Amino acid sequence: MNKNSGRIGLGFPIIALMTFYMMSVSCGTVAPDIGDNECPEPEDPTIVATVSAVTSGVGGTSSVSTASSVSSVATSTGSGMEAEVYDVPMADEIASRLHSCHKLTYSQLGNFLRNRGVSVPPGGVSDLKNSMVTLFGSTQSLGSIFGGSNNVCEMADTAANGSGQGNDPLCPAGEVCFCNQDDKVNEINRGCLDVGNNSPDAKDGYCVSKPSTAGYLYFSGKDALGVPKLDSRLSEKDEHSTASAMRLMDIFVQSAPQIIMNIGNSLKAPACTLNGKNRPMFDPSDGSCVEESVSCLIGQPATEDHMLLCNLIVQKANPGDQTDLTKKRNIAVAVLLSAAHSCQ
Amino acid sequence: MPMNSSLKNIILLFSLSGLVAYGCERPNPNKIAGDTSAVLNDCPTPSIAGGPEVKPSSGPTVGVTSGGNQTSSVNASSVSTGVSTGSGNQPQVEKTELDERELDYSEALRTASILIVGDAPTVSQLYELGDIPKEQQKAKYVEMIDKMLSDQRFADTLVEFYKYTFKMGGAATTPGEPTRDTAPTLAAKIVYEGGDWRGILTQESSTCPSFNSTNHTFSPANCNNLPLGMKSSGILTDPGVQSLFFGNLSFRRNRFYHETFLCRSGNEQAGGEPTDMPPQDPPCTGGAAIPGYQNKWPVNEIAGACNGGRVDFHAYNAGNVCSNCHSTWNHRAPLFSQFDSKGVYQPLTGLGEYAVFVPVSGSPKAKLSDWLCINPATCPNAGQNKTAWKKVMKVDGVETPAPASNLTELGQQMAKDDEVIECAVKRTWNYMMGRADITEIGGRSWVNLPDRKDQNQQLLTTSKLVSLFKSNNYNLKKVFREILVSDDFTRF
Repeated sequence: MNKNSGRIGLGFPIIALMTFYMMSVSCGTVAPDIGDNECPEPEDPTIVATVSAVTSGVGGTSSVSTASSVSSVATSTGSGMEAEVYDVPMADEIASRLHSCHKLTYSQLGNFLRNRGVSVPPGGVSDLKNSMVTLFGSTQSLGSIFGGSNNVCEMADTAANGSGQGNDPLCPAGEVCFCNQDDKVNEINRGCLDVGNNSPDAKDGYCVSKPSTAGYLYFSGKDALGVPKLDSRLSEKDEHSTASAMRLMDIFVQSAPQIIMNIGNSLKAPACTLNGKNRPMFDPSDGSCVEESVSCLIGQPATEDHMLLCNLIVQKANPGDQTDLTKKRNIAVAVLLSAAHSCQ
Repeated sequence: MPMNSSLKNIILLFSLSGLVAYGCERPNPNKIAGDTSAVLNDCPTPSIAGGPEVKPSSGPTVGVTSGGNQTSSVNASSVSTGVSTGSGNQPQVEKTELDERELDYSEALRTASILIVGDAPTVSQLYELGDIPKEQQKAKYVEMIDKMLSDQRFADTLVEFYKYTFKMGGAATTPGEPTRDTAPTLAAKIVYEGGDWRGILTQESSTCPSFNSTNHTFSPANCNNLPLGMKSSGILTDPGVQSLFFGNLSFRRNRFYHETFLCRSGNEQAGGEPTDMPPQDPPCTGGAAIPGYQNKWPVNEIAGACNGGRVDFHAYNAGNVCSNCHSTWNHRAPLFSQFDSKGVYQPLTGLGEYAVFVPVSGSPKAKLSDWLCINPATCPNAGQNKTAWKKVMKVDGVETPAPASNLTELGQQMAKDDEVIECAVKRTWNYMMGRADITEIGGRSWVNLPDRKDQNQQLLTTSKLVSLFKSNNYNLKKVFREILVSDDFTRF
C-alpha cells in the first residue's frame, strides 16, 4: 500500500549545501528505499518539478494551494486534432487522495482480537480484579483474564520507590503487581507506591501473571497506545509512536497462543467462521498454515506470498522439538498480524 | 559574513539544477511511523505514458521567505508540458503516483470494515467478495458497504469518531462536572440515524442523549443545564463542552468550535478571518493603524487598553498581531460566556457580569466591554458592536454577514456557512483515508480535492461531496458511502 509521506523541510541554505550531495547520490540511490515511489527512475528523463514557495515564521505552518488546476499536459496528436487536455494534480492533491497509515484505534484493536479468540476485556471496565466482563459468551473476572494469583500487592521497595515496610506484600515469582492505573472516578489510587501519606501500606494492586497476557497488555496499554486521559482535551493518537508500535507487537505475540488455540472454535473466533465451520490455524495433517485462518488474521484473502511466509516460519522449527515448533507457530501468527495491522 | 554574490549565484544554480534533475525531496524516514504530513513534491514519479520524449517545460523555482507570524507552503506551480508525438492519436497524460494505484476491493473492504464497524471483515465476507469474478466485485463491494453502514456497530464507530473529533469523552475528572459523552453522542446519533447534520449546531431539544455500547442503542434526553424556557442549540449549549472547555473569557470554548467546525487551527494566523484588504482603522482615535493587521473586522470594534478593555487585544509585535484572530473571536466568545465551569447557563449579574473570568489581577468576572468596544461616546457604531459568528461568511458562494445575538442564531449562522459544511465533508474524507486530525497545527492534514479536468469523469472532489451532502438534506452517511465506493478509496 502506498502510504502518504511526510516531508523533510529543507531551508535554502541546506538546499544549497546539499546540492552536490544530492546530485551525486540522488533519490533512492544512497537513500534507503522505505516506501513506494520515493523517487523517479534515474533513467527517466521526464521529471517535472513543482514550484513551491515556503514562508517561515513564528506561529505556525500552513500549506495553501493557490490554484486548483495546477498543471496541464497539452498534446498534439500529429493528426491535426488537439487531444483532450487534462490537469495534472499537484502534490497536495496527490497526498489527499492516497490512503495514509492510521493506526488501529484502541477499540478497533480490541474488537479485532476478541473476535479472533483472544481474551481481551471490552472497554469501559474498571481495573478492579473482581470486575466482571463478558467474553466468549460467559462472564469472568478481570483478574482471571490477567492470570496469576491475584493476591493483594504493592510495588517492591526500590531506590526509585523509596524504602517502605519490610512486610510489604509482594508478588510471587512469575507474577507482577498490577498498579498502573489511577482511577480518579472511583477515587482509588493504584499507584501502589508506599510513600507519603499512602503509608502504612499501599496495597491497591494485585498480582498478575508475567509474562503478561495479551488481555493485560491491552488493558494496561492505554497510555502506550495513545488513548487520551480523561479531560485531557486530546483525541487518540492517529499514528504510531515507537511505544505504541512496540506495545502492539507485544500484544500480537502474546495473542498468538490464544489465537492458535481458539481460532477453530466458532464461539471464540466468530470472525473466522466460513460456511458454519472454523478451521484450525495449522493443518493437523501436515502442520502447514491454513489459508482461511491466515485470511481471517490479515483481513483479506491470503495470497501465495502470505502462505509462503507463514509456512517458511513454521518450517524453520526443529523437527524433533515440540517447544520450538510452538514458538515458531506463535511467531508466524504474530508476524502475520504485525505485518497486516500496523496501519488501518 | 556576507556571501559573495557570485558564490551565491553558483550555489543557487546548483540548487536549482539539482532539483531540476531530481525534482523531489529525500525520502522521509518518518514514513515508517506512518507520518501523514506529506506536503509538496515527494517524488510523484512523473512520466508521460506513450510519449517517447518529454521536455520539462520549466525548471522549478523554490522561493523561501522568512518572516511574519506563520509558515506557509504555497504550491504555485503551473507546469505545462507540450508533447507532440508526431504519430498516432493516443491521448497522453502525465502520470503521477495516483496512476500507480491499482483497484483492490479486498483491501478496500478490509479498510472500510475497520473504519465502519470497527473490525476487520470476517472470513465469510472476504470469500464472499474474493470468490466472485473481478468484474462483479465492484457491485458486491458496494452491496457490502451498504450493509456495513446499516450495521449497529457503525453507531459505536460514530461515537468514537466524534469523541476523536471533539477531543472529549468519558466521565469528568472533577466532581460535580457533567459527563463529556453527550456532545459526541448527539453528533453520532444524528449521523447514524441519517438525520440533518446541521442539527449538531441547531437541534433545540434532546441534545444530551446517551449511548449503550452493549446493545448499540441511543437514548434521547434533554440537557439540564439551561434555564426554563431556553432552547438548546445542538452542542453549542452542551454542558460537557462548556465545562470541559471552560476558561478565561471563553476563548478555549471559542477555539473548540472554531477548530471543530472550520477545520482550521486556532493557533495560527488563519485563526481569524484573514484578508488581504483589512480595514485600516486605528485601534483608537488618534492612534496609528496596526501594521500587519489582516482581519475583516475593523480593529477598533474590539476591546483594548485604550477603550476600556482589561486585556489589550490591540497589542502586537513583529511576530504577532493579537487582533488578527481576536477581532473575530471577541465577537463570538461572549455568546459562550454565560456557562459556568460546570457548564450551567447563568444569567448576567446586575452589573452585566458573565460566568467567566478575566485573566488580570483579582480574576474579575468578565463584562461585554472586555471583548468589544461598547462605549457609545468613543466606540465606532455608537458602541453598538454586537456578537457574530463572522464578519462575513459565504453562503452558497455568496458573501453574507453573520451576526448572532444568541446561541440559537449562532448555530443557525454556522449551519449556513459554506466553510462549516465543507469542513464536515473534509473531516469525513480525512477519517476515511486514514489521515490525521485536520486541524493539527500547520494544516498538516489538509484536504485538497479541487475541481479539475481528469480522465476519470467520476473523480471525487470536495465540491462534488459538498453538493451530495446538501442535496441529501445534509445526511453525512451519504458522504461516508460516496467516499467508500470512490475510485480513490478502492485504489492502493
